[in-house]
Amino acid sequence: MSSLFTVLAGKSADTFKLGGIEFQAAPVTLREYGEYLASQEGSIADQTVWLADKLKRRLQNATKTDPEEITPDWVLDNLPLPFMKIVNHILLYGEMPKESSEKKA
Amino acid sequence: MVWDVLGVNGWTLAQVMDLTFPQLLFIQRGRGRILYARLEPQIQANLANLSAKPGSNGEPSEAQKIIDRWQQRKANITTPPTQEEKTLAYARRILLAPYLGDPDVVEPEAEQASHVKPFPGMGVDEAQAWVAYVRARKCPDNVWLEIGDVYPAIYMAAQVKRE
Repeated sequence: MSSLFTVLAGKSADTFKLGGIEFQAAPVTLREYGEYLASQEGSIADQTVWLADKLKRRLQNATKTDPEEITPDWVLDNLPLPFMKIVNHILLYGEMPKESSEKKA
Repeated sequence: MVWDVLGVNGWTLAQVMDLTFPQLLFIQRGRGRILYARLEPQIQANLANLSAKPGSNGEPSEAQKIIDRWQQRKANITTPPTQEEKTLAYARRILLAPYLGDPDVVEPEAEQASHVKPFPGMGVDEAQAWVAYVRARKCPDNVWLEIGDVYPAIYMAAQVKRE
């Protein structure tokens, strides 16, 4: 039941860590995801600008970390390319990818 | 998937685009579109059976019966329930006991309401007119200030059975 309310509110109970900073796994809206798909056709800089903007709003503890710290450059430094797929999944579905489904695939 | 939701709920594309993907899945599973779209054909079928033709034995038509019942409710004319209706209501109340509590326990508020005495010297017709007036939301505030305190008594006077 509690998961129902987090879904309706567009939030998530899960968190994930990047470069020692904790972020909420809240899903993006379809409009934002459309912007992301459009940015994928551009350079990698376009993608990091989008990612930095979304991660900035998903800081778990905004008092601990200054949101201004999360810049496109910070994303490039702290987000290894293999993790890109996981972060994609988190921002779309609002939860960590399930291990069982990964093993099947 | 987006088109599925758009065609059912009458939502605009902009509204759907502002949903997150889990929200869209939630709606698409059907939980968000339960009532109107599914019941609309049934409602229309029920309304199609309704006719304004009077019956062969001089009975009022179905439509006329509905209108009469509605006007009785508006004028606050209540007919006492038959024994059958009382039994049915009591059995239903027992089935709903997990949600509404023990049916045999009289709530203190209901008990208090029964102690309100009908407004002295006011006829049934006059009281029913007052109640209809208030229920139709025609009562201005300055009048309500005058009668608000005694309205329960007026309401009880409207419930007095005609002899």
